[in-house]
Amino acid sequence: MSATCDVAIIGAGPAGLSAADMLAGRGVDVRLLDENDHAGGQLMRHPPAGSSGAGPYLFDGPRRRGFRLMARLAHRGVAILQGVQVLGIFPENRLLVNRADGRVLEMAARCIVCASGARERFIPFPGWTLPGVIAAGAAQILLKTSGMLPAATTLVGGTGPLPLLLARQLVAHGGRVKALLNHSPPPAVSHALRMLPRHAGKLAEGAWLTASLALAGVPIHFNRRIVEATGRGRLEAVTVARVDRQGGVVRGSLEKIQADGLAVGFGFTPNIELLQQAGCEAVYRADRGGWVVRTDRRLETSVADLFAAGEVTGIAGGVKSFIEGRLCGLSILDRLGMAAKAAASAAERRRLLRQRDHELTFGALVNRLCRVPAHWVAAIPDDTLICRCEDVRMGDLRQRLGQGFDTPGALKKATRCGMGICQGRICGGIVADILDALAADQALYRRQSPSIRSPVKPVLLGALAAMERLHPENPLQ
Amino acid sequence: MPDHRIETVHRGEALTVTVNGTPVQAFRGESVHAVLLAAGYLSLRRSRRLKEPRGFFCGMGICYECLVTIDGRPDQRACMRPVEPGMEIRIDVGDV
Repeated sequence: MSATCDVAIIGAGPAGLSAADMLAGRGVDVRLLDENDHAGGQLMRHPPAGSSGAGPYLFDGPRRRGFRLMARLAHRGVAILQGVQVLGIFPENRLLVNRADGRVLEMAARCIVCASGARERFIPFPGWTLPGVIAAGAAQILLKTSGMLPAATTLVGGTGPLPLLLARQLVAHGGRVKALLNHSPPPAVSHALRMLPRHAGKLAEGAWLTASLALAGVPIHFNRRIVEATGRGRLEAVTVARVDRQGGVVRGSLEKIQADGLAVGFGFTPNIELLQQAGCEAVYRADRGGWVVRTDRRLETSVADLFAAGEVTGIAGGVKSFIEGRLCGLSILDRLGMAAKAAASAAERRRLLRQRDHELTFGALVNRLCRVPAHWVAAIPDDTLICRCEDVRMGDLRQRLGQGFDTPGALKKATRCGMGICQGRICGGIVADILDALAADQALYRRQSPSIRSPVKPVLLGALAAMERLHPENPLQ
Repeated sequence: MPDHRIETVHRGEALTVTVNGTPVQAFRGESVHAVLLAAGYLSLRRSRRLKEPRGFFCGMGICYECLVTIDGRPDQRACMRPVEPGMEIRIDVGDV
């Protein structure tokens, strides 16, 4: 494999694959770098050849579109490198790459597309670190790739559409779902309903899922929330409570539900660490899922020749990612001087931008559904773990906040919150929510995006020391 | 004990791995995590400071909670590795 190419695309999900499709069709030398062992990102997760998987899937138009795209790229022989982590992006479009075999090497490209997708957001509660409590997305991955249920009896809870979809999928595959606890705040639900005419199709999917779940006999609660998960060494029960109209727990309404699985999800947030490390401007947009990378209408970031596509520009789902991948492809063809007729390309761009705006509006609506009220976050009990890696509790953060440590960076230095092996990917969004709820000056920490350094994923020092360099005389800075 | 595998799913080739030396049945295409879950291994390690039991959480390589030793290489994410015949998986703190 040559260490240089025209375009390096990071992430082989909907956005990365679409960009590759646009470019490879014009003869551009494209290379896709993907961390998973299969291309497709989270949307096109699938069982391996020779097994049937836990189909059929519901509302899977975008997913099928993705599989057609993957087949087309395979037919063209586009190189997708699996099991590859990009550890950093450096000046002169150089990438530091950790390959599946553990070797670290430098690569370079004329343009880079970062399409590193999204991860789930969480609202912690006592016991959320017990084995048996898992992310809603994790349960879905178990279903999709391994044809397995997460537990004998599962309770599903959280905000937004994923817990609802998951509960329906579990039931469809013979799983026992104790109940679905929908924590989406009522004002956001009413807001979503008012937007019904504009997004009728997607909201109808939600209504259909809710109805079919109810028909299957699964209780759906809008006015109950998870208070605590308990068990000896593993999950055995979940305590839930009724909430009043302001979202506060009603005293005396605690109820203990026996379950060996609890799947929770509170929406999504972009994976932009690599872009932040590269020096790209980021902006905090709650309506887009948290910190997102800032781009122009061509999807170029503030770093020249570094483009961004998909969930990293704002959480809005797979369809927007397909659109942005194509937009990115068009922009890069322009940059490389390989664009088709200017007029045709401009018309295509206008059409894609219109579609993108529509998806972003829907994304904003879903992201709003996913946010729990600030007083919920403010009331997280002191003994609740916030940083899973370093075992930092809510009480540690509350105490330091009271002493004036009121940015993520200051809290990290004072408590080690976010300093562990996941590099703050799980607790980062939670700390932002805690600051929203408790900090005296909410604007303070929003002015500067968290500073992220390479390597953005853990790597063995020995592998770094043995790095294969492009220009040994001119090492990475 | 139920192993959580969905009966209607047609599985790939059956294969055997070991978990802390004990043979465990698996099927091609399953993740190491799925195999551990099916065999009843929920607790995969202890947390750094409080030494609390931890297991699989995010399922997509983000949280690093499901670290196990695979074929002698420590700190491998069980959720990110497809199972292979003869794989030797070690859990430092098992609960089975």
